[in-house]
Amino acid sequence: MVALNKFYDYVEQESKAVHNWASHTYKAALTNTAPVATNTILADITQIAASGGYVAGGYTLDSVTLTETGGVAKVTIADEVITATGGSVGPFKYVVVYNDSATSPADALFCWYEYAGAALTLLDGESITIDFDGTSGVWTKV
Amino acid sequence: MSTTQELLAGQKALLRARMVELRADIAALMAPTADLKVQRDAAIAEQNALDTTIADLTAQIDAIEQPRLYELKMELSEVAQAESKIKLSDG
Repeated sequence: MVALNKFYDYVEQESKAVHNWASHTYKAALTNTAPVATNTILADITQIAASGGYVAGGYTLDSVTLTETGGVAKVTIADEVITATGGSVGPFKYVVVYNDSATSPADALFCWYEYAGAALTLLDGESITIDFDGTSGVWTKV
Repeated sequence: MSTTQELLAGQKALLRARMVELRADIAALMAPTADLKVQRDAAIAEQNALDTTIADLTAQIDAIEQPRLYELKMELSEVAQAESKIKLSDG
C-alpha cells in the first residue's frame, strides 16, 4: 500500500474549519516534482502540463464520504481512474489531494502519494487507478 | 495575631491588590476589541447559517448520487485495472 503523506498545514486548517469533508470538493492533482510537507496550497505544487485530458487543478474526486462510528470519523474516497484522452498524461510520480472549495487559504492541501516506481506517462487511451483504501478509509480520527 | 501571621496577612493583601491591578489591565487591554468581537460573532452566525444551507444541499446531492456513484466508480476502477492487464501484441 502506498503511504499517505500529510502536509503539515492540514491539521491547522482542519482545526480552523477550512476543511469540510462532508461537503467540500476535493481534487487530485498530478506532479512530477516531489512535494514537501511544508507545502500548504496548490500553488506550491508544480503540476504537470495540461495534456491528454489533464487540466490545471486535476481530477475531481466525485465520491467522498465522511462517516462516524463509535466516535471514530472516517473518510472514504471512491477510486479515481485517470485515462489519457487525446494525448498523453505525464510524466508524473505524485498525486496530491487538496481542497478545491477552500478559499482562505485557497486550495488547501491535504496529502500526497508517491508512485513506487519511475515516473509514469499515460499514452492516449491508457489508464491508471488511484486506489484509495475503501475499508480503512483515507483517514480516520478519534 | 503573631508577627508571622501579620506578615502573611500583609502578603496576602498585597497579592490581592496586585490581582485587582492585573484584572484592570486585562479589562483595559480588551476594551477596544469588544466591538470587533461583536462583529465577529455576527459573522460567525452568518457562517453558521450558510453551513446549514451547505449541509442541506449536500444532503440533497448525496440522496441522488449515493451510494450508486461510489459503486459505479469502484466498478470503473476494477474494469480499468483489468483493461490495463491486457497486453496486445502485433501479428
